Amino acid sequence: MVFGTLYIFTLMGLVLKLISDITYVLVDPRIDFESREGA
Amino acid sequence: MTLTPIQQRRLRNFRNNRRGFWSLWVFLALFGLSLCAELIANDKPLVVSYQDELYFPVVEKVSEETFGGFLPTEADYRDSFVSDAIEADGWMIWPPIRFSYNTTNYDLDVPSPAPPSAVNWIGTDDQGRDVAARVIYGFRISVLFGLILTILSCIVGVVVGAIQGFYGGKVDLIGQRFIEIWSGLPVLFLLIILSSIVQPNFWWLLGIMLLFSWMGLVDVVRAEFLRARNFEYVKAARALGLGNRKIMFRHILPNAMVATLTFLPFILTGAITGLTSLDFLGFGLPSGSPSLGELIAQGKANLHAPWLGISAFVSLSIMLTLLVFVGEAVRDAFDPRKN
Repeated sequence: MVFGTLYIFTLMGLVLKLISDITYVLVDPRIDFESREGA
Repeated sequence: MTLTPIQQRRLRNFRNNRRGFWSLWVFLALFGLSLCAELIANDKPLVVSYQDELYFPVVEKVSEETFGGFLPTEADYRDSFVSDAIEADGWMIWPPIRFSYNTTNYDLDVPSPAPPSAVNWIGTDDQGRDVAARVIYGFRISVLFGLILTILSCIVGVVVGAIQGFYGGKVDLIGQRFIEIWSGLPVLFLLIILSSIVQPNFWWLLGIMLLFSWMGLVDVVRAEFLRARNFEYVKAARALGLGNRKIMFRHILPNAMVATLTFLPFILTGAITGLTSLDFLGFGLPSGSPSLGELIAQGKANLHAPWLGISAFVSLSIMLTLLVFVGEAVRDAFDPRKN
């Protein structure tokens, strides 16, 4: 029961994080996730 | 210190929110008073005059022998032998509440928890300790814990978010996956396991809670950095040959701090609630510590003594309401659309 709840909520968190990352680009098209390590 | 026009506008906006502005002052006054808890609620007098000598028991240990007793240990000023000896040849000035958070009142007429009386203003808990003193000390420890946890979480969260957002690519990818795994850990179970291995004190608890509370700000700062790293001024700074660290912390961070500062009062509220919840469940501060969560637990266990639950509820709700009002005012102050 406890681990089932934990699993569901963690999964929801992962999906929400993915959606929020996609929304960043929609809200501000200047945002990208490319590497800037050589900057 | 001169304020820039933007800072002046933010300060004006903050002041214009009367509710938040006065909440901040009331909160600061309450916190300031609780910092002087030893002078408000203590089982030692503030000043003792005995045989024309002045003593300050709040800040110094005075042995019972000094007042004509037999013991070389610190005098118990609530003991009638010591107090009678002092009163016979001098005087004492007591704090308004003559109990510290751990002083047991042995002179109760009724079994503890005793109801409010002239001696114990909001009654005693189930061990005969004064509730008013415990609320004052509990308020102080809650706010201090919340402040330290907020500052440390803020530092870790901002640094991690800045690195992820600025470098992007694999750094961001690995960081995000790590945070996803870390935030998926069952915090309460880990706390139960850890508290069975070590007896958590203030700093242990702070460390354990910091392990899981730093992630709150990462997403906000990361998003700001992801956006700001493509701005013209950042490209200009890079073209001028500035290093990554300077660009991150001198140029992008001040702009990213708006979102961070807006979140701070709410993080503080969350930290205080977290500590109270752990204390309520019995996994918080060690037993005997003045804690609002422990007082709520006592209120639940002693429903026939409503002063326990009510006093903890009132002090917690006042503290959290004030902080939420301040948070709203800060959010309004940093809102660029507000004039």
